[in-house]
This record gives sequence, C-alpha cells and structure tokens, in this order.
Amino acid sequence: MNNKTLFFLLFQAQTEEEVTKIVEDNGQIFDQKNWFPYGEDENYFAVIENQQASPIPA
Amino acid sequence: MKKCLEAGIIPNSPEAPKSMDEAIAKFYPNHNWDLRQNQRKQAENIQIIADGPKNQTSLIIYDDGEGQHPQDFETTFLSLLKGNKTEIHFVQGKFNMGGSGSLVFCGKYRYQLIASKKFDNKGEFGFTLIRRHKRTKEEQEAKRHTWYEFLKIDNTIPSFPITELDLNLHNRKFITGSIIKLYAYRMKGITDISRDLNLSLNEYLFEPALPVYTIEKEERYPKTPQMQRELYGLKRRLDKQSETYLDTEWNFSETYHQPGMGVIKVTVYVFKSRIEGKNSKDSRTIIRREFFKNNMSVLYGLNGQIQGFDTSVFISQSLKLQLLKDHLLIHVDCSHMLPDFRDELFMASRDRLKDGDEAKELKAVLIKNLGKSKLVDLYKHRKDNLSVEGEDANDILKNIARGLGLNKELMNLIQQTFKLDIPPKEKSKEKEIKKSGEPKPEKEETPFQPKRFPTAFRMKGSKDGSNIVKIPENGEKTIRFETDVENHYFDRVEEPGELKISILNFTQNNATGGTQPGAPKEPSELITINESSPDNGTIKIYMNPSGEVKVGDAFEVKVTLTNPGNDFDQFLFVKIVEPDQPKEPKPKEADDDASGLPPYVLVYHEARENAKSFDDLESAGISMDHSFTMHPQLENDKLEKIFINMDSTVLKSYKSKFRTEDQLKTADRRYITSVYFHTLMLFAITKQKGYQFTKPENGQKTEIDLTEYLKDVFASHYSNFLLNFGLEELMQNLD
Repeated sequence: MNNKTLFFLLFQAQTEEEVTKIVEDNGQIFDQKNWFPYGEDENYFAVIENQQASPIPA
Repeated sequence: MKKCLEAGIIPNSPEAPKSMDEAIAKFYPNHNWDLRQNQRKQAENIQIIADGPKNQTSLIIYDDGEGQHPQDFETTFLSLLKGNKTEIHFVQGKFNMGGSGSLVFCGKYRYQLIASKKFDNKGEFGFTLIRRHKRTKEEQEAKRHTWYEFLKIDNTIPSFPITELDLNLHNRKFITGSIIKLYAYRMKGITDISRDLNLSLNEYLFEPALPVYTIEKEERYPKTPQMQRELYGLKRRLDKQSETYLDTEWNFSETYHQPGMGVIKVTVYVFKSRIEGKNSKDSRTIIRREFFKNNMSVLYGLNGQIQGFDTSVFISQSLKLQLLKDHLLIHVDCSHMLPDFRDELFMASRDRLKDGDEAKELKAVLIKNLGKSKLVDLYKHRKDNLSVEGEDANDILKNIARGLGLNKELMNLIQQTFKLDIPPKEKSKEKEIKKSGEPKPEKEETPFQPKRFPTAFRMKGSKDGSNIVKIPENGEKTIRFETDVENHYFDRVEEPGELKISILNFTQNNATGGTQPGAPKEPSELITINESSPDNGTIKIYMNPSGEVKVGDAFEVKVTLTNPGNDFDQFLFVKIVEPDQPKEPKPKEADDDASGLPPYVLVYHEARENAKSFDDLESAGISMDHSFTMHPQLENDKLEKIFINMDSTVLKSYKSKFRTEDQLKTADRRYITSVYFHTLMLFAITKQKGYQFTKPENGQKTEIDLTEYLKDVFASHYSNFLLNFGLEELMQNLD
C-alpha cells in the first residue's frame, strides 16, 4: 500500500474501531517497531493526560 | 506565522509584531472582517468539521497556516515542552503543547491523525497517526504506565507529493497548511458541531484574532438549518445581539493601572432580566444556553482567549450581588498585565486560575473596584423593585418569634444567625422622616445626545483651563471629564476608542529640599489609576498614589481620549497635599434593618397592596410563577427577605380541600408559617455548618448557591410535604 492510499484510509475512517481495523489489517506498516514515543519520551504520558480538564479549551 | 514568513520577517526577530493585535494590523490591514462576506472568506482558512456517526463524533481541524515539512514533524507537532515559540510574541501557546491537550479526549484508543504541507509548497505532504500504546502483559508488569506514540515508516514520517487534495473542506481543496483529525472526540452536551461547538468555543475565544468556521455534515444532521457557521468570538456575538439580550445602558468597562500588577481591563455585560416575549425563567434558560454553556461568568482572558474563569458564585458570594448572579458576564483582560504577575495566574488547563497569591490579589482588586462601580447602582435599581410599603409582616413575625422562645436550642440556633432583639419600629419611621426631609425640587436635565465619536473632552470643574488636582497624602481622588461620546465607545467592536493615561513628569520633594525632575514613569509604577468607560457624558478617573508619594510631590498626567485623526488631550497637574484631618466618626445609629428576623413578603400573580406581583419579581430577574413556593433574597450572606408565593400550585391544591373562609385563612397561615420557618431553619443550619452545594448538569458538577438550593428544595415537593403531612398524620401512619 502506498502512503497516499494509507493516508486516505485513515482520514476516511469514520470511527476509532475502523482505525483499529486498518492498524490490525496492515500489520507490517503498523508493526510496533514503527511506533515512537510522542515527545521522544514515554514519561510524557502524565504531561499529556493531565494537561486539560475539558475537551473544548483543549 | 504564515503571513509573517511570507512577508520575509523572521518571527522571533525585532521586526516581528510584538502582540496579536499588532500582527493583525500588520498582516491584515483593512481586513474588515465585521462585514459578513469578508468574515466568511477569511473563516475558510480555519475550519472545524464534524465527521463520523452522531454517537462517535470525530473532528477534522484544518488550518491554512504555516504547515510543516514531514522531516520537521518531530520537532514541531510531535515534540512537547520544546518551547520553540517562547520568543514569538504574536502567537498563542509557547511550549508545543497545543495539539497534545486534545489527545486525552480522543476516544478509547486516543487516535489522532496529523497531516501537513509547508506553506512554501516545496516539500511533500506528510502525515502520522498518534495513539495510546497498548501495553503487552510483560510491559504491564515492567512499566508503571503506558505512553503515547506516533507512526513512522522505515524511520521516516510517511509522505507523498501533492498539488492539491480533496479533503471535503468547505469551499476549497487542500493545498498547504495542516489537518488534524481527532477520532471519537468526547464532548459532553455537544451534538450539532456547527451550533453547539460554535457556542461553546465562542466562550473560550472571547476575541479571537481570526474568524473560524464550524461545519456540520448533512448526513449527520439533515434537519440542521445551517451547516456552516462562522465563529468570531463572544465579544462580537454580544455586540451583535446586544439589543436582544443585553441591558445596554448598564454595560460598562473599567481599566485598572495597578502597581505591581499592570493594566487590567474589566468589561461588564449586563443581561436583561427578561428578554422580549419571555418570562425571567425562560430568559435565564435561553441566556445560559446561548452565553454560559460552560458556566463561565467571570472570564480571565489573554490575547482574546480565555485562560481561566469563575462561575456565578463569584458574583453572588464575592461581589455580593446575589440578584445579578445570572445576569452578569465579566471579562477580565489580562493581556497587558506585567508578565511576571501574569505567568503566576494561569494554568495549562485553562479552566481556572492558579490557587496562588497572585490570583487572590487580582480577585481582591476586582472585588474592591467592582464593589464601587456602576454595578452598585444597577443592584440598587433592581432591588428597589422588590421593596414593599407595608410592614404588617413584621408584626406577625414578632408574635411568632415570641413563640419560639419555648425551645431553647432552637432559639440559640436562630439567635446565632439572626439578631432577634428588634428595636421599636417607630424609631425607624422617625429616621426616615428626618432623612428624607423636604423634597428637593427636581433639576431639569437636558437629555444626553451621544455621538459615535467624541467632539469634546475636558476636565469638569477646571478653572481657566488649568487642571490642578490636589490629592491628600495617602488619600485618593476621583476626577471627572466631560465628553459627548456614546457609552459603548471603549468596548464596541467596530472603531473603538480608548483612554490613554501617562505620567509625563514627576518631581519629588526630597529630603535635601530641592525639587528634581525625574524620568517619565508608567502610571502603574507610581499610582493606582482606574478609569471608567463613558457614562452619559462623563468619564471618571480615580487616583490613589502609593505610599512612596509624599506631601509636596507633584506630577503631570496626560489623559488622551482617542478619536480618529484628532485625539483629545487633557493635562492634569497633580499635587500631593497634607492629609485630610480624620473625620469625627458619626455616632452609629441603630440599624434596625440589620437586626431581627428577615421579613417575609407575599407574592401574588397579580399586583396587590402591600405585596409583590410575579411581574415585580420577574423584572428584577427573579423567576416566579405558580411552580415556585418561595424565593429567599440574600444580601451579603444575610437572609434579607423571604418572598412567599401565595399563588403557588402547592397552596392552591392544599386550599382546594377547604370551603369556609376561616378554613382558608388558617390554610394561608399554615402555609406562610411553614414556608417561612422552614426556610429560616434551613438557612440557619446551612450557614452555621458552612455547607456548599453542587448539582449535576450536563454530566458535570455545577456549583449552586444557597438561594438556588433553597428555592429548588421548596419547588420540589418539599412544601407540599410540609402542608400535607403534619406530625399527627405521620404518627398515624406508624400505628
């Protein structure tokens, strides 16, 4: 699958379950070795989780 | 950023704008976005589009901005706390935290798709998917928490070349800029994105730099009358819809130049107690839905964006304006505060101020200044509608109060809350007669004819054009200026004006005797200066020199009222003089209103003598119809009056069992006594114990005050229970 097709598959996914299915059906692309920690640090999880209390100002 | 880069200006260079306002003026001269057609055109550049099924709404956010090359994703979109905008003064956000704040609300798996192409149109269109990592069993044992991660393919952000892409944007194809898709975005109470999200975002974007589109999809809400709505901030909405919702004659603004804090502009919007064709209850519901979706009554803003808020509890409890709590919106602009002070105020969550000394100090300034502002007159005006001529109720109360003496504990509780030693009523009548004296002949006033722009501005009471102001050491002074400009001049959206104040020269009478000119200083360093917006031709400036300013010191103040092409300047020569002799304190008169049990006032559907009508209460913004039993009126935490509804459904239904006049009178008395004393007891206990209340609203806990709580308790069958289930009836059921 080329990058353009992959982008449109993800962009047009209507639900998060559809995104999960794309991830599961394309194991090679979404292999764990292709995922990198956001902010280059796994410990930023708490920073992200605690940043906003409400979805609108976020 | 895009416009700045397109203009060849390095965003963190000295040539770059220093503020959001400056950036708009520089990069969008003559934009005129208040014209709908122009606003719509500009709004196409930032779109928030609904996607997915109604029960799992995703948001697509498009921004025709700077964009990023795929190779720069990791240092921009995907970095955290890098602070690569800290030296850029005309943007929101400083620490690359913007996009990440929304991740938490992206469904179970936290999926977020980020795609972008740089504005220079040179590189490729890059994209990545972010998710919350699903830990393996081993990872669950080894690592305390999970993490967020993003996708790269072959160690590179995936990309592909584009000329343009059809991404179902409104009125355009994607060429450059950025797109973020937030999957399954959880937003309680928001269904139709073009309307609900628009209203909600409007409250957080009080005065955004650029207009934005919120867009719904026909397949999701086929009956929605309007799929696209522009969003251009609450200030513009209030301005546009002021005639429908606002009591415009009471709106005002004040600017405080506060030493150590900087400049704070406070704008107060006063909502009508009844909008046309609606009662106060419906008006309140509509106003809350339209303007208080997030329960924010006091908005603390920075560069047009809200960074913290207080609920209506601040108005009722801190400002002690109970009657106005649902009718005020107060915007506190913190953009021109001293940076060190401002940095200590706000949190990343943008939902409240930090619980620190600075926030307390700011709130104290608001309480002090708003406590002597136009709000005092407004409060008095609305409260005057609620006073009654007759005092019969108090006589009945005295009799009942005597009866209370039978129970010592009950008396103790009530005495701790209310002072029961009511002085004789005659005294107060005498006082009133003395106070009022002979009626003064009314002055004939010429109606004020406001102008859109000022044609005059001068200090009131100045002799021969010399404006000399003497302020006693450690004292204060209010100076009034005459003008003919409209009240809304400083706060209107289109072509607003402002009052500029600067200290030109400061001469200090120092210990060596001579006077020495000093360097010009900002007023906020030297003296507290508050300025008010025009009020029917008068602009007030209040001056309160700090302790550093001594007798003999003098300074010149330049006051400029801006006006297109022709500003008006006034120069004041301020001299600090000997402090005033302390006034002999007046002997304290017995204040009979502040003691004793609160009176009750009977309320009927129609107007009656010595009573109030539903309409009287509604005019003051108090909801009253057949469904309510009572309304407790609080003033400075004191129960001032209890309005008892004699046309309530509860009483009507209770009285339907009786026929004779005596029975009906007894029923009335039982009702009044029950409602009155139960209100009194609940109030006394609640206040003594310091209870605070919240109730669920849109899935969130909303703070409510004592008035609302008591009123709701009585409206919710409590009074029905009181009337219909006396102790005897309850005992019978035990047998």
